[in-house]
Amino acid sequence: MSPPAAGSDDIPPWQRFFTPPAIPDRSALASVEQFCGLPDPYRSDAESDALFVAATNEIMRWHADRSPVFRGIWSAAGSVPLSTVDDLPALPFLHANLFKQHDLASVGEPEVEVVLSSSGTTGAPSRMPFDAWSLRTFQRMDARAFEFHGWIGSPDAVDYVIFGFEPRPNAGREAQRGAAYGLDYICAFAPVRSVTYALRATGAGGHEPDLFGCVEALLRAAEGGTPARLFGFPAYLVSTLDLLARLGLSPLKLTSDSLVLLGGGWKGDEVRRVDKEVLYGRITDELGVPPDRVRDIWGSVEHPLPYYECPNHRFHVPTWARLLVRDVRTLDVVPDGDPGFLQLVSPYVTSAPAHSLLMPDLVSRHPAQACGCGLATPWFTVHGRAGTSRNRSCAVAASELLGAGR
Amino acid sequence: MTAGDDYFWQGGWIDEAEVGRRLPGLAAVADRALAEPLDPELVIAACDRLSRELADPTTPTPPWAELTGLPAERADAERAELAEFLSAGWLRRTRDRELGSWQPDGVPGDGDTAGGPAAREHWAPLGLLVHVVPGNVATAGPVSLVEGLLTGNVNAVKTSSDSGLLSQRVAAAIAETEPRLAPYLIVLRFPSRRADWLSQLCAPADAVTVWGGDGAVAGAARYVPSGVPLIVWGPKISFAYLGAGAWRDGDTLAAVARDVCRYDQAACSSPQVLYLDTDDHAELFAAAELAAAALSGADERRPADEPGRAEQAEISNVVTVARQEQHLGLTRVWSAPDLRWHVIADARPDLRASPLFRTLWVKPLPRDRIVATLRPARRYLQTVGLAPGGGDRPAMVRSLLAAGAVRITGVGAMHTTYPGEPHDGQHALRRYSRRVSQTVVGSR
Repeated sequence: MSPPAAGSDDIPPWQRFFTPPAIPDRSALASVEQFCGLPDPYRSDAESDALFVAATNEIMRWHADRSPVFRGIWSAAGSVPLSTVDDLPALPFLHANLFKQHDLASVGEPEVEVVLSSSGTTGAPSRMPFDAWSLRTFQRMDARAFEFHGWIGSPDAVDYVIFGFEPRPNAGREAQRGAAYGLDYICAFAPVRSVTYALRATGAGGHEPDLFGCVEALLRAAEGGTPARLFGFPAYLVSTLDLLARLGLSPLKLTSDSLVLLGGGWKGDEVRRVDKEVLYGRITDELGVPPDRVRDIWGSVEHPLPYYECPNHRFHVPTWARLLVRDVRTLDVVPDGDPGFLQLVSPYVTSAPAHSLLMPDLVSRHPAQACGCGLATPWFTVHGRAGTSRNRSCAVAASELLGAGR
Repeated sequence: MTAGDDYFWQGGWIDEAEVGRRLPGLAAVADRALAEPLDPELVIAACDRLSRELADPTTPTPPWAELTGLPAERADAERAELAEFLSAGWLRRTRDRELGSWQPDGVPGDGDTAGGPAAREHWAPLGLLVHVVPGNVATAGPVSLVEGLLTGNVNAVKTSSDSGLLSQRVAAAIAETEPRLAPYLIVLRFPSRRADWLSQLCAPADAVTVWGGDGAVAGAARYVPSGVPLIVWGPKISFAYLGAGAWRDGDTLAAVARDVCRYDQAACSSPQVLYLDTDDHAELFAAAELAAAALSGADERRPADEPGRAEQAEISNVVTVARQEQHLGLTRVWSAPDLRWHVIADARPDLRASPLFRTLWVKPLPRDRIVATLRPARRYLQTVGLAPGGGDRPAMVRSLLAAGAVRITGVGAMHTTYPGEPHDGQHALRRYSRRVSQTVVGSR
């Protein structure tokens, strides 16, 4: 599959995301470049596995030469390269929370093109440095996933409603929120008629919700018969749906090629699943968007590869990553179906040793064929996050204490 | 539909529909009960009888673990503590220490103010006291309830949907023993998302007391009418502080380990950090190694409570990050072979919350940096288990109090309390009372 054709004098804005980025050191990272260039976003076979192994070995040597922390962790694990993907359980990882505490760049300051930060709702924010290669590479992966799912281009200009942060004016390259950064560039994949943010920048560094603005944007799209694309935090979409209903404006009928991509901000564990199903139903009933055009996104600034729900609403692992699940106590790899920590491996990243990360999130992994959507890669189910239960302790929570120190 | 044991209302068990009917009339219910003062001796006598029943192992009681939602051993310990708290001797000493003599019917004339009118002051109830208690401390509900009763208030307790039924059972037992106390007791278990009930409960309140984390307090505060006092018992953190060289004494570290293991750090008085008066990293790591040995020894005497999956994951997150920070020269980690305890030596002095279940930070904090380091967290600081070693104890106490700590104990005694001891820097009975005065002009 190739990107939609672009006229010679009218290159569509998404075309640039497919341009191969320049690898920092082609002789050291030839397999990394080749592996990250695989075009099919959901591929699983011996050839891609072999390329993954070669690329991972290259990137481990890259970071061992540049990152004292990774060098220490890798040498403590014996500095053993992978022979096959079956060696993955022995692959050393960095805990994602290390990036909340330390600046772990493997490249110099001049090479860093952008620093993306997480929201920090459950602790200190991570600050992830990206060089041009790493940034453009994960964006190209994202573009390929977008293309695969049929979300690139639109015959009509699109009314975008972003349930997220409006980028701050003059924020520069420093400390962009990852969520805002991603939502901003996501608008490049179809022509823009209007962009409306649910969280408007106040100009004083903060943001304020503007639900009436969202309501008006949805009304405009529905009345004009133009496609709408809704992206961002589910909570603000729920609030907008509630407001539409209270104002007596529901249901709206958006065009059937409208698209809803949600990400982040789901409540933990059991609540999440129920809420999600309820919300999907409301989106279809109250906005007229068909169920297979309503998808969730899993993402993190520490590992910003594309995890979009398939039509069956499962998060499949893209071609360019491998997923392991580790026991929450022993950190041993557990069998498919068992819950544990999420470990993600992708050799794409040169700017920080984030190629093998243990995430604080709890998930279970399932084989590709257990989904039934036809995608070739395994998928995972989210089981919430780690945390000290308030049901058993009257002690202060780590996040509360952190707030006190600011 | 039969009444379950979720809703106890002035001596009887009612069902959900009946709660819905009665809540809008809560103000009138309180008015009637408060028309006549409550004799605290009735409260003390009824509580004392319950205390003796709880303390007597032959008394059949409902399965205590089920009531408290706690593991059996913890539940037994809390049963014994509640029995002690409810005893007549404890309650009288608490009342006398916090309020002085209790003479609710005092008349003007026997007090004296120099040159002014004859005056008389005493303590009076606030009125309708609403308690919002979480499931996290099984005895928080009963203790708050009895303190409210002892000060003559009408008490309406909201317990969380995931908590046990201890508050209901204690209220029922008191009302059964002394029916004249029944009008002062309402206990309802329902989830906080029932905004209508929470709102109806708080609307007529004279004060609302909330136990829990910042989120729980903020959640309850939304329903408290402006001008109504919000009495907060918020989340706390406690730590041990060892003066120069005190860590070399095996008994001192063993005492710290006992404080850690008792309640598996779930209590707000449990040490989460062991601070050392040093900035020498070699000394820090040597002390931490001995602390690990002490925890290992303590471990054999008392099995640990089992963390749930999310709690275990939090422990593993913290310990894994600390292990990886060893490569930055910041940390060293000791763990039990079966991972039932962890000691994390960390060269950074900032206060960190522990993921609990016997996970202890060991950090350097020279005594002249106590205030600057800890004061940012002052509203969370509670108990300091202090072992001055060869250091200047009064000076350390001054620094710790200046930093915001409210309770200084010895190591090994961080959980030991006494009747009338302030809680989080406050006397509960005073917070649940008004100080009232009477003067009669020309009575002299």
